[in-house]
Amino acid sequence: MARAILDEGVFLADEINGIIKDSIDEAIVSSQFNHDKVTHWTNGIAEVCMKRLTNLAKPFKYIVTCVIMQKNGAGMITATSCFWDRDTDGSRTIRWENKSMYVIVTVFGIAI
Amino acid sequence: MTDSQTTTTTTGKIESLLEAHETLSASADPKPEDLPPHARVVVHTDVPYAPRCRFFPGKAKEMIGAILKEKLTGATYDADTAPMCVREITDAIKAKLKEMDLDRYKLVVQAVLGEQRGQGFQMSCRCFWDPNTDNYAHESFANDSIFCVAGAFAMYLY
Repeated sequence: MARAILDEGVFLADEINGIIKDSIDEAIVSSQFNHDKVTHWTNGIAEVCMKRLTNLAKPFKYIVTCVIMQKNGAGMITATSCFWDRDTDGSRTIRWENKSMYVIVTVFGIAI
Repeated sequence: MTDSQTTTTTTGKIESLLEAHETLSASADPKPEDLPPHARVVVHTDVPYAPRCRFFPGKAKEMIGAILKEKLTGATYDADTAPMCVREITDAIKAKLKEMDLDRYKLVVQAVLGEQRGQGFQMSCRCFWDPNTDNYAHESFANDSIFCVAGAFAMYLY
């Protein structure tokens, strides 16, 4: 119980691994990269992820970014730089891939 | 007879005391300027918890664009130096944002740097925050060899 109270205002990155992975799986299932659908996928993943994060009912502001890139041998690097309270705020990045594309979802949680 | 006299005098005393108190409190209506700094109470009724200074997306967008141009003009994609390069970009953007006098703002900067080979690329973001105080800016850059998208998010701490 004491631990639950302590964790109330802290961003627990491990807790949301499942949320991110489920959101990606549900949106893409086993599709291949498709130019017409990719906008719909990125928006869908970010929206579903956000809905589930807000359902956790924790005192946080959230940012969810979703990147989808077609696989053709091209390299890609992403980096983040933050200015915040290290004790309460945090981020989690999940990389997911199939044969035709990379999906990178990053969630930032900022305590209010 | 004596009893009633005493009562009248006491009630008279109380009345005069009350009057005195009323005039005193009316005359000594405290003005915020007269109070010592620690006793002043300022009530914000229009926008509660309003930030002293705001995040201006237009200014930030210009700044991000300038940094991307400076770092990436004429650059080619190199898998070994790219991680260093993208980290420098995010750190430079964060440093510039800190100079913009964003008191009590928490900052998040994210940049994606990739190789241009004609592949499809899509990025989107969703934010759950207070639209009165928080905002974001983003800018992209591309040449024949690389593309880069950088976004900055600023969230007010109440």
